[in-house]
Amino acid sequence: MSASYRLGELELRSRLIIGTGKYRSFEENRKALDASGAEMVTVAVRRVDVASRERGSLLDWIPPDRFHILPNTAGCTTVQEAVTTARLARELLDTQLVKLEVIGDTRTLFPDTAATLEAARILVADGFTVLPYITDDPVACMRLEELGCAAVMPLGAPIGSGLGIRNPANIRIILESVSCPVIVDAGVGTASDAAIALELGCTAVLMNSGIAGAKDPVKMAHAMKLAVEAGRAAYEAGRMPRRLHAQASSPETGLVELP
Amino acid sequence: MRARSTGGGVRAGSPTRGNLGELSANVPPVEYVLNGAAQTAGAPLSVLELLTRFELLKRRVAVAINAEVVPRSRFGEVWIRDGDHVEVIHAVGGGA
Repeated sequence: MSASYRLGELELRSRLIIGTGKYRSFEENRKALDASGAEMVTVAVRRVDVASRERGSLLDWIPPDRFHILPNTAGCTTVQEAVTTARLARELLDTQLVKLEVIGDTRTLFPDTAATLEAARILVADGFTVLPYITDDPVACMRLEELGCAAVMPLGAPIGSGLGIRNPANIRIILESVSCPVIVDAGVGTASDAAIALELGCTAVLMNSGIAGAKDPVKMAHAMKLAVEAGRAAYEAGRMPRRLHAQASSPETGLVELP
Repeated sequence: MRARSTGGGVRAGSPTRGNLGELSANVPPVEYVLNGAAQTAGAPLSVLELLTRFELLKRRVAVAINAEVVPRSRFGEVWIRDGDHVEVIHAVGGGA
């Protein structure tokens, strides 16, 4: 079992953070959560449909006294929207945590870096523990750390794409460039993608579609749990050096000689 | 965009500001926007009364008026005024 890590005031053991979107039901979401071993889940905040009599709530299934709830500002496209959404979420959920997203382009869902930096500055000053979603840009990550973010969350690939970590070299440079936790957020499609994030040295990985979009989300949640544990253990173990040519692992002397 | 009071003075307490005599006479209806839809109330209403009216009191929601968060502890004393934009939000499934 690997050591725990900190996000702001929180101490966490599971290196998997999962989302709550796209599941067929709250029940399936909860089963996947249990199978994933995640201690933290991210939720979106949206307007209540006042005309609807539907009264079921996500939080009935994922109670905030049992899991760390990480509200996100998903869908926000301006600094003001993101800041107001974060403040509403803080009042709603009694948490200082926020997964900050300021989307710059609704087709690709890539973040607006300048707006993300500005929103992070405002929210850090307002006492939030800010976990910003950002491109895999080492300089943007350095600036976010300087602003006081508790972690940086570069994307592995576009949100919901399942393309895996498209630029592991940049993730490595980010890991060299900041001292705060690095959490890959977005792009993980299957277990090996999650393992790679952890093998690179990332503190954790955040995913939603990679689990919810699987044919069997509960089984995939379990696979992701194993993947982050394996990836982290491999990182801590330290991989062997890569060699171009073969090197036998059996003794080269004392072989049987035929007459 | 109207300026909003911060830190509680104007909004707290009675909806009447100044002339008490006008309250007992014809109170003009309060027209406000709730989650993007126009609403009309016959009389000024507090956030608490709004949530009661829409059967939201027992649900876990947060409220902002004109982009300013209203703390839960002040639901009973913050009043919705004519022209206010009210947002009532809750947690929903989502990842990014």
